[in-house]
Amino acid sequence: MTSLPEPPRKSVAPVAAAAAQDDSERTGAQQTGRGPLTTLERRWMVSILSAFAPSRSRGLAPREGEVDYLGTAQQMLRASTPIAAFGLRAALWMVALAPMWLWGRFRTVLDLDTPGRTRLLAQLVAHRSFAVRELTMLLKLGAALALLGTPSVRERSGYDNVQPTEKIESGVRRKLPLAVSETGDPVGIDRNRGVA
Amino acid sequence: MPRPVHDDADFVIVGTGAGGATAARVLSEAGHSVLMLEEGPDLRGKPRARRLADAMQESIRDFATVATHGGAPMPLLQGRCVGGSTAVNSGIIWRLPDKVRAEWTRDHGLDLLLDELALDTHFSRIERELGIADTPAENRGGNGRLMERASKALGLPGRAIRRNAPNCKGSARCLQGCPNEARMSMDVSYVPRALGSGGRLHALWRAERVVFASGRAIGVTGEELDPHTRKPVRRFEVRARRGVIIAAGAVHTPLLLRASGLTHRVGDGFMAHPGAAVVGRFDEPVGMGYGATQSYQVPLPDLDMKLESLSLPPELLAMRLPGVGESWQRLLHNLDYYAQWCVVVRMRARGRVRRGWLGGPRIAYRPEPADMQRLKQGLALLIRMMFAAGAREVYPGVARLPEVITDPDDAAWVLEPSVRRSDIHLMASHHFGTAAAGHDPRHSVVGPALECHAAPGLYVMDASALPTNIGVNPQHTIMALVSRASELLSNQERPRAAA
Repeated sequence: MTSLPEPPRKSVAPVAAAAAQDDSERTGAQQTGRGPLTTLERRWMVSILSAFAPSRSRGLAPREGEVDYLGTAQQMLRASTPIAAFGLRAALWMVALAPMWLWGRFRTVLDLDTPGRTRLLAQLVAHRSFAVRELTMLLKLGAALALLGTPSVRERSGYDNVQPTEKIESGVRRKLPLAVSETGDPVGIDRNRGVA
Repeated sequence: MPRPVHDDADFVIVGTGAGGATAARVLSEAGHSVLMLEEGPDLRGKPRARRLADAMQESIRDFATVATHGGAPMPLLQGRCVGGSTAVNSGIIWRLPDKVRAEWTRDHGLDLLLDELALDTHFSRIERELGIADTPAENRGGNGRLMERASKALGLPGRAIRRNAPNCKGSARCLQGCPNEARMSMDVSYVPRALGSGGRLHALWRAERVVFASGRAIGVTGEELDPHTRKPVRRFEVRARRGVIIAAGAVHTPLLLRASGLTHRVGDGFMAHPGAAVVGRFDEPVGMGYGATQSYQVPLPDLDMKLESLSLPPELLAMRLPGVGESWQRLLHNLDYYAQWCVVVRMRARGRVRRGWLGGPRIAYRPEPADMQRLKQGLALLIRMMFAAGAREVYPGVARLPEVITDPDDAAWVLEPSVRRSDIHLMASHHFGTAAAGHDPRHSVVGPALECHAAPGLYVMDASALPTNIGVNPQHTIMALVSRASELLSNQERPRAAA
C-alpha cells in the first residue's frame, strides 16, 4: 500500500465550467433527463423563464439580455438528481404546450406574446392540480435563481441596502389578542404565562 | 479507467460532517492513523460563491433536489463538501434533551454511550472548542429583531439562538458557506484539528462499498471524482487496520451499508424535522441580508415545534414571494422590506431509505395527520407573530389560500381541515434514525458503542444512529455521541496497538 498525494484542489468554476460540461455529458446524462436541452427546448426555456419577470414591466424589470436564464436552467439540470432533472424537463414541456391543454388553442408558448406568456404562467402557478402548480414553481425557482443571481439586478432589488437594523427595536411594538381559531388557542398559549 | 489506487490507515472514515470529523479528531489525537474520505470538494480557504446557484452547485447535494416520495415531495437539504452539512447550516447548537437521553437509556439500552457525567464532559468540551454562545444583539439582524419584538408582544418564550459562530460578522450567508469562515463548522474546526494530528483527507472520493474479511470490516472501495465534472476518474481501495467508520448522513449511510450487504433494519426508521415558513412585508427596512442567518427562536418543546427566524438569500426570497409578472416584480423591487420565519416540527412519522431505480436514494416518508396539524398551528402562530411585529401584509405560502393576508385573524385559515399536506411547501433539514443504535440486534443496526451488530469493525457515527427523533438541531448531539463513542473505541484499540 502506498501513501497517496492530495487530490488536486480546483474550485468549481460556476457557470463557465458548467457550460463547458455540456458536451461531455451528452451520453449517460441524456438517458436520465440531465442531457443538454435541444434547440427547441432552449427557446422554450428562455421564453418561459423571462416571462416570469418581463423586461418592459413595472417593479424589478431586467433589461433585455441582462439575465442568463438559459445558463441557470442548464446549471439546474446538470446539478439535480436524475428525477428532479426529469421533472424540470417535464415542467418545460408542460408549460410550453399549456396553450393547447389549458386553453384549447393549437399553439405553443412561442406563439404567445410576452403578456400572454405571463398570463399563462399566472394560471399555471395557481392551478388546482398539485403537479401542475409545483412543476410551474420549479420553473419559477429557475427564473428567481437567474434573475436575482445577476449582480446588477440584485443591486436594483435593494436586498443589500445599507444595514438598517439599528432602526428595528426589539421591544414590543404592537400588542395583539392571541385568539386564533374557532377551536381556541392553536398552540396552548396562556395569556398570562405565555406558552405552557 | 486507470488502475485503482490503494491506501490504508488504522481507521477509514467515510464523511467529514459532524460525525466523521469528530471521530477523526478524537482518534487522530489519540495517536491512531486516520484517513477521511469525502465525496464533495474541499472548499477550505477558497472564496465562496455569492450567487446562490453556484453555491448550491458547489456544496449542496444535488442542488437540494433529493426529495421524499409519498404524497407531496419534500426536498432534503444536505451538504456535500468537506464539513458536510455543518458547512451549510446555520450553526445552531442544542444539547440532547434530558427527556430523550432518559428514553434512549431506558428503551434502547444505551447506558454506556449516554453516561451522564461522561457525555456532559463531551458536550462541554465541544462547546468550549467551537465557541458556542447566544447570538449577540449586534448580529441578530432585522429579521431576528423583528421576531424578538413579536415574541415579546405575544408573551412567547423567545430567546437568542445559540450558535457555533464566535467570529460571526453577520453576512447572512450561512447557507451558501460562510465567506469569513467564522462559523466553526467541521471544515474549519475538527477536520483541520484531525489533519494537524496526522490525519489525512481525500476529498472527491466517493465510497461505494465496505469490504469484509471473515465477517469483519477491513476496508472501503469507491471512485475518485473529477473536480469539474464530478465524474469518476479512477477507482480506489483503502484498507482499515482497526475499523471502518461510516458517517455519510442519514440518507447515504444506509445506502452504503445496504450496498455492502447489510440489510437488517438498515434504512428503516427515517425521521426528520420538516418545516415551512411565512414571509412578511414591513413598512420599515428589515435588511434580511445582514445579521446571522438564524438568530432568534421560540422553542415550544411541549408542542414538538420550534419557531425560528430564517434569512434567505435574495434568489430564494424572490421565489417565495407570490405572483407572476408585474405583480411579482412589484414585490421584488424592495427586497429589503421582508422578514421570514419558519416553524420546524418534531414529526412522529417514520419512513425508509432505499436505493432508487436511477441510482439515487428513494426516501419513502409521509407526515402523519397529527404532524401536519402541529405544523399548521405553527404557521398560524407565525402569521400572528408577523402582524404583532408590525407586518403590513403576510404571505403564508399555502396553496389555495389567499396569497396575501392583511388581517391577523385570517391566520385561522391555515388551520382549516381543507388545507392539505400538498398545499404547504415543506423542507426537511435534519434527518435521523436509518441505522439506529440499541442493545437488541433484532431492533437496531448498531450497538451501544455504535459498532454494527452484524459486522465487527464497522461503525456508524452520524445521525443515522439516533434511535428516535430528538426534536432539536442534531449537530451537537451527533458530535457528543461520536466523541464519546470514539473515545471508547480508542481506549479499546489502544492495548491492541501497543501489543
